Amino acid sequence: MKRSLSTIANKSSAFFQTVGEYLRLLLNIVYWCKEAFKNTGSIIKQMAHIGVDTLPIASVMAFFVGMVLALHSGYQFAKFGAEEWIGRLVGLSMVKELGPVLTGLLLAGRVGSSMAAEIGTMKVSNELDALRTLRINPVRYLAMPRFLASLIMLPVLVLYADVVGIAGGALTAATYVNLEPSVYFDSLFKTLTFSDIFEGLIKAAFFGAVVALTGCYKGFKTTGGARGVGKATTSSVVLSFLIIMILDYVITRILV
Amino acid sequence: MKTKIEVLGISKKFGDHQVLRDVSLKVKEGENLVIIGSSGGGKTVLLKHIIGLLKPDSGKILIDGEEVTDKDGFGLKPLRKKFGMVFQSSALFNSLTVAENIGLGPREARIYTEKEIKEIVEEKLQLVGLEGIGDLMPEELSGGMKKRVALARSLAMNPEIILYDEPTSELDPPTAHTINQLILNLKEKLKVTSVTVTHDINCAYFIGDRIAMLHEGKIIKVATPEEIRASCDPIVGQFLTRDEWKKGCPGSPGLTERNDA
Repeated sequence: MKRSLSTIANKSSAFFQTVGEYLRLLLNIVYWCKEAFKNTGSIIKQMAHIGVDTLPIASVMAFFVGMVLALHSGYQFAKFGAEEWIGRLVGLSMVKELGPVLTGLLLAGRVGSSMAAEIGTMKVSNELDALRTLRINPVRYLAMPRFLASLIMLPVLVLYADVVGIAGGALTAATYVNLEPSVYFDSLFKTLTFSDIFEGLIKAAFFGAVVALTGCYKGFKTTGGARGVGKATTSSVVLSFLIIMILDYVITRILV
Repeated sequence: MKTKIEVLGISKKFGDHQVLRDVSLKVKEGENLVIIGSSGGGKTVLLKHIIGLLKPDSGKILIDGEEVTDKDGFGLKPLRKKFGMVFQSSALFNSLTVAENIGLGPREARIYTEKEIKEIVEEKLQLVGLEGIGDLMPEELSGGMKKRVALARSLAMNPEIILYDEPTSELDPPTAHTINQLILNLKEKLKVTSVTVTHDINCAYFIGDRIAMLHEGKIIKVATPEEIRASCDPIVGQFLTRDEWKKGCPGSPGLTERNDA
């Protein structure tokens, strides 16, 4: 009994310590955002890595998600002769939920993990200490540009994924249930409002911040050589997934 | 001569492992103090305390009379201006070219123009004898070249104190000799104060004005290379070459055990 109580106490203390360190890093990054204009070069470089390099995989993902949505809804709606609803279902699902969540998860796997691996490798090979000896703050130099780039680029990627997903849905609707694209888009634009798009973009901005913050946090906390880097990379993806899912519910609850 | 670095009774523990025990040292301006000790004996930990990368559990460190150990973050910045550090692994930034590595400190200080940074890079590369390799990536360099680039990077901000962490480790003897010679030349040319940690007694003899021996977290002896050579302390003997030890203290039990092993 005593043993399990002590285990619970230790785990709780480790949990709160992690939360504390995570929030401290967030505050530290927010503080260094004051120097964003002096670091535009590295922010743009990160934006290209996060945004442009993710475009191909985001396109494939969004296109097929849109097509699957249209397939499922087309099959069901065709039973009631309500095929014109496909457009609004695909549109709303993509814009409000699937676009931001799936692109966020994609970014966590592709970019968050590489941030953790890159910073983690720098940590275990003393490069972070070398930065400090050169009077360069690692949070300012490494984390802040990644955080801002991710925060800016995920909404852009989500907007792009929404368009591609809706296009994928239109293609399937036209080929699977012979729905005229004009009917599909008419139904979509009648339903979709600016606030729906805004909700998706708000989520995307939060998810972008989470991906970069988690990747950097896990990188800075890396210990133990190559094995530690591998562990940090995996745990950054798992933690990002978890936070994105929880945050998705919280933001939806607030905005609905 | 003025005292540049003063280490006053610092102790450090990682978990249950006591790494440093009440370590005290003085480094005079312009001298090269070599700290010698076995691997994992706390030499690098001591070096990281001097530059403020680690905080001791007790004790303090003064640089030019100013305390390092009570400072954090921004407070350390002016003190770190005085330092350059060459890491054991060189710690070059792998995503940057040699020139970008050397120019990173001046560039991020934002007080130099790009032309001035280029001049600094060329000057420092020339100092370490590696002119014309600015465009190479760190993975294209040999171990000795990496150390020299790391040294050039640490020199870029004109430090008053250079800390060397195992400058000759993993290098073949001729390359190690070149690095030792370079450390001596820079000391003469730039009049910098240096602290070098190593487990290589030949390196210590060659570059050291004084040698401090760190054993099980404690400084057991601080002496000139000549005094170390003449010492009959069995622990000191563990770091000496067979011939040197026999000259001074034949039949030492420490040496016999070592040779038998």
